Amino acid sequence: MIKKKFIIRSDIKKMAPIIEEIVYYLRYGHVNEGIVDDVKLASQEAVINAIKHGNRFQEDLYVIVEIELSGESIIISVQDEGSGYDYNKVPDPTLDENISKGSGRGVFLIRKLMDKVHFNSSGNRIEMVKYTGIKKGNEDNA
Amino acid sequence: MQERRKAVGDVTVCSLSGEININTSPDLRKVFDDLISKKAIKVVLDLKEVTYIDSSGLATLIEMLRRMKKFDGKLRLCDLSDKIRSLFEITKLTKLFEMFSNEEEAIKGF
Repeated sequence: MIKKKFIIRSDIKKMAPIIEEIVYYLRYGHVNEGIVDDVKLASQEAVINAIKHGNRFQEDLYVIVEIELSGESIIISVQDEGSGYDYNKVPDPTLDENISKGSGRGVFLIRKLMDKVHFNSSGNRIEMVKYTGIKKGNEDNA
Repeated sequence: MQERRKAVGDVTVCSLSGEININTSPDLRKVFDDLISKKAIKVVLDLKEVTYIDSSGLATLIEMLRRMKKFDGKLRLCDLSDKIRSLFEITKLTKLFEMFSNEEEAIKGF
């Protein structure tokens, strides 16, 4: 079991080392590359949302990223210090009236790529789960 | 992200490589600004060597498509990896972009 907590200021440049570390742990655990790609993209989208929409790029506000990797799954949570957002109100970007819009795909992609997605009631914390496809006890042989 | 460009007749083929993400999207926008300033009305974006694209990258491509349509320009995509193509399918951007399996097919029938 790997548990890590990262606290970064709201600067996009601070995000890369966290994403790289998540990818490193998944590859170290021999997780399928397709799953690694999904987790990488979803994690990046969640951190960008926290910095951009949550903390509105205010560098004095922090983003907390926590990861918990067991053999079977990875759980990633991202929390910002913003006032929160109702993620259920994000318009569906695949509808004809939204398809040409430049924004609104981040949360949509997270929901599609991860197995479980949960937002807290105040809308400033997302928790995402992805199953690795590795059965318990087989972590070393995967 | 890196870019290579060539002309095939009146078609501009722009080959991109690396990651198109929130950090590199401004570079891609500069490429598009240049293409638009040169009035390139037939553009093929070869994505064969693109390894990763996020929602910012998708948004930049959509923006380019919109800008080109304003002067009757056409933008086609080719050679998408399975991974990148699946993102276009998930987001239904396949409805918006013309996509081809390779450069020749994309140029053909422009």
